[in-house]
Amino acid sequence: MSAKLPLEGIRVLDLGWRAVAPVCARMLGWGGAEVIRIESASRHDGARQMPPITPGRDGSLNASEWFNNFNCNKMSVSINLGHPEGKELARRLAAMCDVVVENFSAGTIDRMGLGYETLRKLKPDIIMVSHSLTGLTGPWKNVKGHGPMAAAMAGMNYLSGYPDSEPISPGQAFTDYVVNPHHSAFAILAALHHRRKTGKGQYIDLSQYESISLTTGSSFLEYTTLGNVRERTGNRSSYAAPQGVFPCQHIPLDGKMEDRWCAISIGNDEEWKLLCQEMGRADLADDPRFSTFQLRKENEDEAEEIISAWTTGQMAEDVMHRLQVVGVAAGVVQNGKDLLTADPQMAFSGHYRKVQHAETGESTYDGPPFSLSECPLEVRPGPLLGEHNDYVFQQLLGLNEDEVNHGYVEGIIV
Amino acid sequence: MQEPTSEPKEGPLSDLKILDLAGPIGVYCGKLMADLGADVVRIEPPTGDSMREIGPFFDDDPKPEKSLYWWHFNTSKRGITLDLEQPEGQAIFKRLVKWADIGIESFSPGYLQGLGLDFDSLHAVNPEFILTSITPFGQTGPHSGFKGPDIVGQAMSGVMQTVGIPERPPYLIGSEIGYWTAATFAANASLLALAYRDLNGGGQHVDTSMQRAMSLGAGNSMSTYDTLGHVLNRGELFARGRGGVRTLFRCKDGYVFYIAAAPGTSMEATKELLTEHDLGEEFDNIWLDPTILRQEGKEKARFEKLMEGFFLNFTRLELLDMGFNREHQVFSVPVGTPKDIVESPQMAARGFIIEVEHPELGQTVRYPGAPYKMPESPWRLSRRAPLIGEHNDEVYKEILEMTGDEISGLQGSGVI
Repeated sequence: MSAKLPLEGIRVLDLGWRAVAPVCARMLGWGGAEVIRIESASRHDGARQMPPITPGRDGSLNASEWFNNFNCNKMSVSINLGHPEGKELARRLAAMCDVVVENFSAGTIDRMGLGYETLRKLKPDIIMVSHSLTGLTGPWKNVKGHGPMAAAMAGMNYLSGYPDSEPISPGQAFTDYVVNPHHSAFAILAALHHRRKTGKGQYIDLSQYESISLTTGSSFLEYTTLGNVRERTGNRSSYAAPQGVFPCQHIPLDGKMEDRWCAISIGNDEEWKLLCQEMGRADLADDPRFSTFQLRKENEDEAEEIISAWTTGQMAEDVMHRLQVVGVAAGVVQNGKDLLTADPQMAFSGHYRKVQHAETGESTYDGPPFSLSECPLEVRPGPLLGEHNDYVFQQLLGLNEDEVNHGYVEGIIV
Repeated sequence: MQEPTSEPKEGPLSDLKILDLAGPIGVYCGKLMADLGADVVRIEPPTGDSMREIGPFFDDDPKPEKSLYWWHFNTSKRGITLDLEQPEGQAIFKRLVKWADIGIESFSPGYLQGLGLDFDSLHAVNPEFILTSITPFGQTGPHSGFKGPDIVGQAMSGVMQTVGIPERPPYLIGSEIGYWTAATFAANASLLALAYRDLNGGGQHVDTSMQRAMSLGAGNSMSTYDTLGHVLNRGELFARGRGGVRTLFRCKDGYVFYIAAAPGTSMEATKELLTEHDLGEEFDNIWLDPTILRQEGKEKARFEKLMEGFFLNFTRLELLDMGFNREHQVFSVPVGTPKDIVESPQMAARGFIIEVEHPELGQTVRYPGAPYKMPESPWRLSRRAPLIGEHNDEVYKEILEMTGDEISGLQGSGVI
């Protein structure tokens, strides 16, 4: 008998929309759980039309690669949750699941009749997670919004950007893709472990504001113990100097020349010497301006100028390779094209997965960013809207043909 | 009859035994587990872990026991010293592996092999042992030997390319988020390996790469290139503003983050708010169609100028309150600092900030609390980070059943 995937036999109901809950459920899907998304054509997840859309498929609800990538390995069932009978179907389905995830604003899921207290009467050991912006309780619980708002509140923006200019938001909805869904997925995996031991489920309350606040790291303790409010340091570090991104030869991209950068970080005196040698500036290795971390920190502007003069005109990849070969940390500021088409390490790791999708054809998705030596994890295409209606209604819920037809006619299944 | 007193609930991972050798790139993985109840034994060299050199320091006193970085990432763990570079230390480590469920490490690929402590060797000692490795680029491959501090991970992953404005270099996301990300995925992967073991038996090697982990934070960069052949650059997304409208504005006491024209928001709400403050006349109804505001040009500039002036009259909390306490919410929230988080009424109401005893200082320190509330098996910060070798006696006696003399002997030879 072949070995089972880690979450084989676990069924997950994904009541999420947009990113945070669906991305959380994707982790469980990677792990081998059966993940079922409830959606409807009448009130579909806007993510089904988020760019990039496969060319020629504008208007389709199945051609967003944003949606498909974040919903790989899932099934889709179309149920109108605005209809009382639709709610009832959803509750019956939830009662057959081990885990439910959602990310509506606080309290919405209860008003929809699919709250934890309702579901646990149907399935006492169910594990449910809500991902609200600031938590299910407290004076700000009614603040609704998008993940980047929570990132702003939680200090991520304040600590990002150059010291001489305003704070900056991550370019992407970073916390929706990484921080929050993988805190909650970890909590679910832990809760499943707890359930294996005790038979008990539970309701997990993830506040995006709290989950991100934790990642401001020691700056929190810096305030509570020293009273300092840490400021942005741009690309610099409190324990590596110099550190930054350095300008390299521009490259042609989309018909114009694009700037190009290489990150370099000097972690100790030895690395500084190696950098100086590689730059052909052995004279700087023992220069009194740079010989210790403290001095390099004090004279970081000057050190940056010297390095920039050396990197300018070189290809970023060459700078990275020259430095890494001698033992200095360096990395090209890569873009999506580099990662997919040029980075030999990403290619070697097999991170990106090719899938065949009924509407988008051959597409590339992210795989899980880790490898498990004993159980390779699969990536399957994102579901078409309602693709798994037959499986869910007939096989899982045991509806007969008349009941299914009634659902379609009455706008319960849409 | 008396109600039975309920036992304090245990964390969900309270049966797990973990050996934590990770450096900054992976140290959060063990904290995630320790705060959920796992018995995480942090192993340091006899001279103390180099992470203890990272400031800032309590009292601004740069001593290894006072690194706030160490404090933050090693809560709820026990701490022992062990020199893995001595053969005796390696033998002791293998005995600990027999006891443990999971080991977490972030050495350069090949380092543990050099000590005879690679996955295969440890697997031979304990076939159920899970080894979680966290490195910049993974255990194998053309870049596996590359050095990868946080900035290199953020650069190589594609995240940095999208952060910042076109006129300036790419920016880091603050607080070493590359490290956090790698460690968080490693924690997920470890529990998947554990679930696999529960179903099938057998440990395995978990290989987590910071570059791959962070690349998920680059959102649709890869798929935008794959689908449309377009390279996403900085300034295109949230940095400048969702859909092109600026998100960051100065206000009376700092900055607000404001989303004007994104899904779920309504320009009507902004109009209502401005009208309540006698600026209704200034609001041009042409802006009710947010597509106008997403295009560069006169309308966008006029709208942003009006909002700039409006926000300057209020504090961040005033803007938050007037934004959400209404039928149609205006999406304006404070750009918070660590101080704001500590002082936030929401955080206070939910008990996010917790007091942790530091007996060695005779005082308590306020720490950030749980990233999730899971009442049936609660998150708990059970103790402050360990001092160097604080639990040597306890761990070596309890787990390895050493005698006091044996421990003294090992201390004498510098093994612990």
